[in-house]
Parts: sequence; structure tokens; C-alpha cells
Amino acid sequence: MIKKIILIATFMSSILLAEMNWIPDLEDAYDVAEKENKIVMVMLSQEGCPGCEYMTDVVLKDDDVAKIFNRNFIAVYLDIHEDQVPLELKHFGTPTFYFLKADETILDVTRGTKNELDFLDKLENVKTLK
Amino acid sequence: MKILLKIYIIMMVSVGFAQSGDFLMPDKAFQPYAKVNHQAQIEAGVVLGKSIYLYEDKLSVSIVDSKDVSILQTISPESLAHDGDMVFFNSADFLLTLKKASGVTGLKDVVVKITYQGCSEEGLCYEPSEKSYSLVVDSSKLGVGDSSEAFPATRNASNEEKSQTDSIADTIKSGNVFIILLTFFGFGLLLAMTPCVFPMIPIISGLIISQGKGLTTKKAFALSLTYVLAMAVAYTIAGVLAGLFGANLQAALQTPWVVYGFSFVFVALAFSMFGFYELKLPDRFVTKISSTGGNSSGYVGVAIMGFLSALIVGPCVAAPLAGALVYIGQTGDAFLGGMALFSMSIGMGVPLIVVGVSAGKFMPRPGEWMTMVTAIFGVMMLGVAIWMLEKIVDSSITMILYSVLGIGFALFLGVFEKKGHFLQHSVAMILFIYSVSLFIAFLAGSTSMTKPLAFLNAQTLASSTQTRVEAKDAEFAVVKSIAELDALLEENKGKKIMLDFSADWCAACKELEEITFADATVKAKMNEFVLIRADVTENGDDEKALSKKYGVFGPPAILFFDKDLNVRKAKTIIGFTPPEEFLTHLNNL
Repeated sequence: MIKKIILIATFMSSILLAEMNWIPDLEDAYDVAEKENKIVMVMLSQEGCPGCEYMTDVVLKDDDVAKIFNRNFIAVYLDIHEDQVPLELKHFGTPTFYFLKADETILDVTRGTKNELDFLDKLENVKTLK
Repeated sequence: MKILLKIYIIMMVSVGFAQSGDFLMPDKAFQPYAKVNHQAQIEAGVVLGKSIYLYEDKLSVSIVDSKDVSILQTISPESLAHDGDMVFFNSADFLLTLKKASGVTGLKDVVVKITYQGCSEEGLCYEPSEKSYSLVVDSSKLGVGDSSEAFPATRNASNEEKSQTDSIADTIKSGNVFIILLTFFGFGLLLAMTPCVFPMIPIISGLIISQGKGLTTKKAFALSLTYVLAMAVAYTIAGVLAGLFGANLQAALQTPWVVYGFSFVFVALAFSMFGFYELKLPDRFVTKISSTGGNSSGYVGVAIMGFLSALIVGPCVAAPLAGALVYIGQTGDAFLGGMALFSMSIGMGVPLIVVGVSAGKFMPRPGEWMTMVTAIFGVMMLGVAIWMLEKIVDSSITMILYSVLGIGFALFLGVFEKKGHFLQHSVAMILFIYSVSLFIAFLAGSTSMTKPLAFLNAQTLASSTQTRVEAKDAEFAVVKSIAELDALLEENKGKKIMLDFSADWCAACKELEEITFADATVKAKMNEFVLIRADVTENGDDEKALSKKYGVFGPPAILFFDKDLNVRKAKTIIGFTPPEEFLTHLNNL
């Protein structure tokens, strides 16, 4: 009985929490990642980029994506024109996603759009690199 | 746990495919260039990689530090609508005509700067870039112009990807300003000879002259000129307004029903010329305005008369004038509009000045030829109506329309009758022959206006008829929503299914259709598949859901289903693929 209650509670809370949390500052993100043992995902974006909008408004809003994400990743959104982007995060276009450990080493990078299923695959793969 | 597992399984069963993730590096995606041609013009632009497009509002070609040499006129490429933006595919090519400041001689260094930003249809947007080129221009080949007086940018139909644009329409559309002004001047002259305006000329002339006291030729000329200039001011204002409003309508003019509407307006104007009905201001206004003009005297009075005469607008003038304004509205160019209407009013005023100065000696007599002029106007109106349809309607349809118009007019000119002037006969006959050849071309499936009978060329006969016949074979069932698609998929379960995501505004899709799908061997192979096309042109909620479900960010995308209606992710094609590659791909399924 207790097990069932706990199961339902976690299930409900994970559904409720299925929204992406974006951390505005990269340094803060590293701190949080350190504390919660998560991977930092930096999304490089710019204005007038329909692919970026697709990723933030469609793929990253997907419940399944958000759930896996929130459990293992921290999200940071950087505008390549407005924000300071570290030099190591090389890019020639947007959206570009960098996955980094809390100690700032780069685990993986992916460019362009991906649909929900493929993005999930990506997250699963990156998760194992931790 | 079970619930979560079920959800995950459903997700796995639903479709998705891998985006290739291999994007062109910026230096392959965008290849800017700038060079000087033999006429000392600058050809500059950006060549684009596969599936790459540039935003129109982020693209600019300019001259840095244009003190000695600057831009006289820019001919810009034609853009396409894509997801709410105006963009260029394949390449964006500009032609800059230059001018020099007075006193400039010899070879001059010119720095051309190109700035641009674009994206890949496969889901990546590149950063804005700019490139500068140092070129050398021979200033002796340039005209002198005040650097503040640049002609406005005009459009060039070079990137037309829908139908073949024949060279006649090109000349009109390409906006060679001088030719347009000359045309409008001629237009004005013709207008002065329409049955309602022409007889008025001596009367108006008399009225003008009676305004001034004492009658020297110089004074008569001055008075007539004042009248004409005042009239010109009124028409010019109309032209500028047409251009201004037109500029806002540019986007609207892309939509089919607006084009049909304008086309209809021209047809209605044409029928007014043919005499089915009259277009004019209500008589109340006409008398009111004429009486206002009559009260003042001298130059001022004449000027007022001139200005108001433009407003009175007799029945014959109303139709062509409205047509001219609509045409200007289409170009969206207020400056051009003002200048063109000014030329037109000068054209209209020339006979008046001639009469005023010559005191009636040089006027040809009114006669039946005036109905001819009105008829010519009517035919021109219909021609413009057809020309406007070319944007949205298949070129074979516009071809048959031109053909019918030509034949009708030739018959009107009495091509088969014995009587009539020799010149009229020749024109009628030539027109008749050309129109008939267009008709034959239409029946043969050719769509070229300048070379309608090219299909008779022996070498092209075999292959062109072959591709023509086979072009009918690649039939796709069209769907626009998930429901429609699912129904078709269920119906055809167990067979090889190919799903093509396509849209009217997608250039690479057109290429696929015209090059790859039209290839004979590819077509034969495609017959083994059930062909479904997902038409996402409208990009409404249904289309968006459909695209999202299959992970299609932008067309073209071709997906293949296996016997269990699963998408074979690894076999998905994104973007244009040439026939041989596509055939190999199909054979490897």
C-alpha cells in the first residue's frame, strides 16, 4: 500500500514538474549541476531562428523530454548576439546544443533541430557519458 | 511503472526519424561574390548551398564610402515567401549600375559590402555575415549623377521558379525606368486621341487662350503649358499615392484571390473601353468642378482648370488611368509612380500645346480611327489582366488566353476581310499567325511564349513528348492532416509506401518534382510505391501537427513506410536529391 502511494506521488510530481527550467546564468548552472549531479545543457540561439523556436516551443516542451531532462540536466539558454558565450562553445549556427559536466568539460554537441524522439535518444546517450 | 512503460512504448511506435545533423559549413552554405562586368556594372550576390536560404530583409549589397562612385540603380532578385518571411533560394544576384560624381576620372577603387543571414531548411540558422570586395571600376564608362539622386531599387524576375517568364513581360517587370517613362508618355499621347478627349482639345485650347489678354504665340504656348503642368501635378499625385498604397499591398499581391481581383478589375476596365458601359464621375461633380474653374482668370485660372480637368476624367480616360494606377500600385514604387504619371500627363498635354501654339492648324481630323484607339486600349487592358494571372496560374492557361485574345483582336482588325488599310492588314495577319501558333503550342503542351513551336525541333521531339506523357504518371494522393494520412496508410498497409512532404513555397520541392520525379526511370520505379503527398503549404494547425508527428521541420522530406506502417527512419530523405541518387536510394529499400 505504502509502495503504491509513493509510486503515485512520484509519478504525479514528475508530471507536474514536466516543464523545462531554464537557468539564466551559466556560472549558476555549473553550481547547480555540481550540487545535484546533473549535466549542463547550453542551448545557443539567436533571433529569427525558426529552428530554435521549434526546439524551445515544441520539443523541449514535450512532457517526456522535460521529465528525463529535469532529472538529469540543467538548461541554460544563451543568445549568441546578446549574451557572453564562452569561446570553447564554438558555433557557426543555431540552434547548437552543448552538453557539459559541472567542471565545464564538454561531453557532446549537437547542431540543428531534432524531433522529440531523437532528442530523447540524444539525452539518453549523453546521460551515460556522465 | 506499467503506465509509464505503456506511454513509452506508444511513443516508440509513433514515428520519428533522424535528422542528418550534417549541416553545411558556412563557407559552403554561403558563397558571396562581387565582380565588375564590361559595362562597368557590379554583379554581386550570394550563391547558396543545398537547402540553404537567405532572409531578404537581412540581405544588403552596398558600396562603402561612395563619394566618387555610387549606386545609380540596383536590380534586386525576386524573393519567395517561406514560413512568413521573404527569402531567396539557390542564389541571390544583384546588378548594380553605378554613377560617378562630376570631375571623377580614371580607374577608381570601389569597395562592395555584402551582408547576409540565412538558414538551412534542415533546421539550422547561421550567424549573420558580411564580406567586402575591393573592385576596380573604369569611371569613364559611368554617367555623372548627383549622389543624392539614386534611382529606387527595382525588381528583376531572375529567380523565377514557377513558370517560364517570357522576355516581353521581363522588360516590363525589370523596371528599365526610361522605357517605362517612355511607355507612359506614349500612353498619354494615345489617351489624348480617344474619342472623348480628342474633340475637346480645340475647345479647351480656345478656353485657355481666351483667359489671357493679348495673343502672341509665346503667350499661347505659356498658357497651354501651364494648363498641362497643372494637370500633370494632379496625375502625379495620383501616381505617387498609387505607389505608396501599392507598397503596402506587396504581400497581399502574393495571394491568389487578390491577383484574381485585380485581374478582374482590368477585364472590367477593358469592357468599358469596348463600349459595354461607361465609367465616369457623376455629372454633379463634373459641373461643379467646371464652374469653379471658370471664375478665375489669367495664368492662375488656367492652372486651376488644368488641375481640375484631371479630376473630371472623361469616360475614356477613366479606364486606362485606373489601369495605369493599378499597375503602378503593383510595383509598389511611389517615386516611379509619380514619374510615370507625370510622363503620361505630359503625353496627354502635348496635343494641347501643339494646338494652342498652332491655333488649330496641325490637328488631324477626328474619325473612325478613334474607335480603333479605344479598342486598342481595351485589348491592352485584357493583356494586362492575363499577365497578372501568370503569377498564380499555370503558364499553359495564360498562353491559351493570350492566344484567344490575339485571334479575337486580329479578327476585329479584319484579318480576313478585303477592305481596310494595308498596314492594318499586315499587323492583323502577323498577330493572327502568332496567336494561332500559341494555340498550337498550347495543344502540344509547350509553354514558351517566345518559342511556342520549339517542340517541332526534331531533337527535342522524342524526349519532350516522352517526358510530357510520363509527367502524367507520377500521381500522388494528397493529404493535409494526420487523420487523412492515417486513413490512407491503413488502406495501403502491407504495400511499399512513400510519403512526400511538400509545399508550394518550397523551392527544393519544385526541383524534386520537375527534375527527379519527372525522370523516366525514377518514375517507373516510383510506380512500385503507393505515393502520398503531405501538402503543408497552408501551415495551419492540421499541417503543423502532421509535420510535428513525423518530425519534419521543413519540406522537402520523403519518408518510407514498411509493411507494418512504421517509418523506416534510416531511409528518410531530406532536401533535393538528383534522379540517379534517388533511384539508387529507391533500389536499396
